[in-house]
Amino acid sequence: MDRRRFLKVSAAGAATLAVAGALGAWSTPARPTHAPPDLKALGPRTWAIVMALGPVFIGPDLTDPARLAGRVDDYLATVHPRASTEVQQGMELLENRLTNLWLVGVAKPFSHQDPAQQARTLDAWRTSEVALCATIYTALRKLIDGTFWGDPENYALTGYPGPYHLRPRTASHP
Amino acid sequence: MNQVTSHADRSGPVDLTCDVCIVGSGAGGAVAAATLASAGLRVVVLEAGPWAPAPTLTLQEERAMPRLYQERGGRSTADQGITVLQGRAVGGSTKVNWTTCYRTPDHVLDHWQRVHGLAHMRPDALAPWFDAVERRLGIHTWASFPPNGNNNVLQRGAQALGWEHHILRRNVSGCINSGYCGLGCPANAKQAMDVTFIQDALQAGARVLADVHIDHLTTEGERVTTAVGVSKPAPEDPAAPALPVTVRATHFISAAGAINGPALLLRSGITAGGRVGRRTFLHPVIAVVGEHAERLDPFYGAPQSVASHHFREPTGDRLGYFLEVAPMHPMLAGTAVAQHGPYVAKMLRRLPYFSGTIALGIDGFREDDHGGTVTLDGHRRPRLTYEVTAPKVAFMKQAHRTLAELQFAAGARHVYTLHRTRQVRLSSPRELDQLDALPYGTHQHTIFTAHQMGGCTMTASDGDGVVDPDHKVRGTRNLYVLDGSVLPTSLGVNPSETIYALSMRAASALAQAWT
Ligand SMILES: Cc1cc2nc3c(=O)[nH]c(=O)nc-3n(C[C@H](O)[C@H](O)[C@H](O)COP(=O)(O)OP(=O)(O)OC[C@H]3O[C@@H](n4cnc5c(N)ncnc54)[C@H](O)[C@@H]3O)c2cc1C
Ligand code: SF4
Repeated sequence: MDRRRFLKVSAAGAATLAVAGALGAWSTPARPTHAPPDLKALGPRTWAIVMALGPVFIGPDLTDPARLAGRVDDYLATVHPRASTEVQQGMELLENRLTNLWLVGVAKPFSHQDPAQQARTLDAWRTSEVALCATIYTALRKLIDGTFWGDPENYALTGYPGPYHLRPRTASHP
Repeated sequence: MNQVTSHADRSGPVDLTCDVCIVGSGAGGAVAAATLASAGLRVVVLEAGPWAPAPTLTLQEERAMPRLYQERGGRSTADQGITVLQGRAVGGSTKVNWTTCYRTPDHVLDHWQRVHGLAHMRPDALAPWFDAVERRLGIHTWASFPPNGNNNVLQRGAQALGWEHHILRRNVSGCINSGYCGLGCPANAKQAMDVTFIQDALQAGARVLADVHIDHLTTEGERVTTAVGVSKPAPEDPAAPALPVTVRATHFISAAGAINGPALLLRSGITAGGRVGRRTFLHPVIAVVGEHAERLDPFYGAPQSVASHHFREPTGDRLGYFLEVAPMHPMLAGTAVAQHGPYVAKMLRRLPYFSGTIALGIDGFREDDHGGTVTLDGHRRPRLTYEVTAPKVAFMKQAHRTLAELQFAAGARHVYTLHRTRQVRLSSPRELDQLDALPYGTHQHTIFTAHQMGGCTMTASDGDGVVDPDHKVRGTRNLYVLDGSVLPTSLGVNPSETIYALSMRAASALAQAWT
């Protein structure tokens, strides 16, 4: 797509997303997930969204979505409050019914979609040519993937033995 | 002996008076502090990040990235198009940098003389300063160990293709080849600022305060009078309340680095005619991953030991670029793949067999390349925008092909690009043409930067740039900038040694003038 068209599509998309943001209330409560009572940065709603996003962002390797969501909450509690708010606004847009209607033709909040639809929805975000979608997708991906792959419990999935003192001794790392 | 103090050491407001107040303790600030304190001046260094000596380092990305990097490791351009890796600790980005050292290339100095009027930027005039920092930081061609698997791919590939390549110089002493430079060196082998020039500064009587974020500088007419900020506990340890900090000084030095330095000036109402924050250069980086048959363990071993400058020269419509490698720990690798789900998981299962080669675009040399811009957001935080213009897109396109070719020449079985909207895996050099059909630029694939430069650029003429050739901010009487933000262009080589040397040169002249 040439740059002009990209910008045009971006502008139309941005307008839709802005409307969706403004109509935030027009979204069903996220699927209840028994958010822990002591959340630090996420609210019960965004907790539920992260619980829904985790399995789609990570795939079958994610066996404990609540651990991931808890670690996302811990991390967001330490960033600038504005940065935390911004990323949670991104989550809200991804959850929003109007956004989903516009992007994938399904007027259902993300957390209420079945897993196959969720996979299609997140893929639509990934492949979107709307700049704002790319921005939100990238921010959420870095947050969730970074949290998961940075978790020492998951090192084994990558074959990374862990910090240097845990290395297998080889000729180059005696 | 005099030691770095942290928030936990403070029980009340901080109110200090000194000769020289330096904001930032990285490559520029630490060298300036040591030079000025050794001349007998009373120096105070204020650093937003923590004091993080070796025993406190965990070598876990999940702990080190939030602790030692800007914005808890989450810094990026405003549109998320470019991930910005930048340090935040006593020692600044040198605390987490990959130790590659180069003198400023002669052709870059020549460009600065010709185009930016910086007559003093001559190789012979700067040589003594390079000599001095090389001695202090033990900078030498690093042959203690063979290149690790990742660097060996670059070496083998360039060799096979007949491309220029060389072994790098590093600022290390007693390096055990661990591979954790990016998470702080566990062996104190990296001659980062916290274990070298900051120690020299302390020994000469300087006070170095960690955990102190300077919000702004107060001015009276053309003079800066006070640095105003706050001492804060680490976010993971918020027990103690924040404390106000006020430092009065005769002279002020901003050494807060690119992005933050311009932001500090903007928060202080110092704009140099609207030029503060402009001309921010990044050496924008693209990466290509090769999957090899043998284990490369790209997470162990000195992160960078080989480079190739074969593609340094720009053409009429594209930037020049240089080739290095990036270490691959799971979190960095997992976030570098611009996709999600099983695709990423499947890729990462092969992590020990991966090699991550990178190409860094040499920005700022074209007449039409104005770089990125730093402004303030509604919360007075720096906001960076950086347009990937056509010559940069052309660099990214060609560099993908260069790196893929290199990977195959080094024996890669498969080559992956880090595109967002496509899943690209090549299995033979015959498939290289597929790369021509792909989109390149912002949001098309992963782009990152570990080299932020400019934003308070140095120029000779009054109506241009932010600082004069003596590093003084135009329109002020006692404010200087000694860090990477003064560079008028990028460098085409890793920037730390240039910043050390320019800072030492400038601070030595200031020490003479002020004593
Ligand atoms: C991961 C990584 C790898 C790198 N690898 C290499 C390499 O191999 N070779 C190389 O040459 N270069 C490398 N670099 C870049 C190099 O380290 C930097 O270019 C250099 O350190 C910049 O020096 P500086 O003085 O401009 O800023 P910095 O060294 O970044 O120091 C600035 C300091 O100021 C502090 N500060 C900012 N704002 C404030 C404020 N308001 N109040 C108080 N303190 C403040 C910051 O916290 C920071 O500690 C790397 C960088 C990174 C991040
Ligand atoms: S490779 Fe390891 S020991 Fe060597 S300088 Fe880097 S962190 Fe230190």
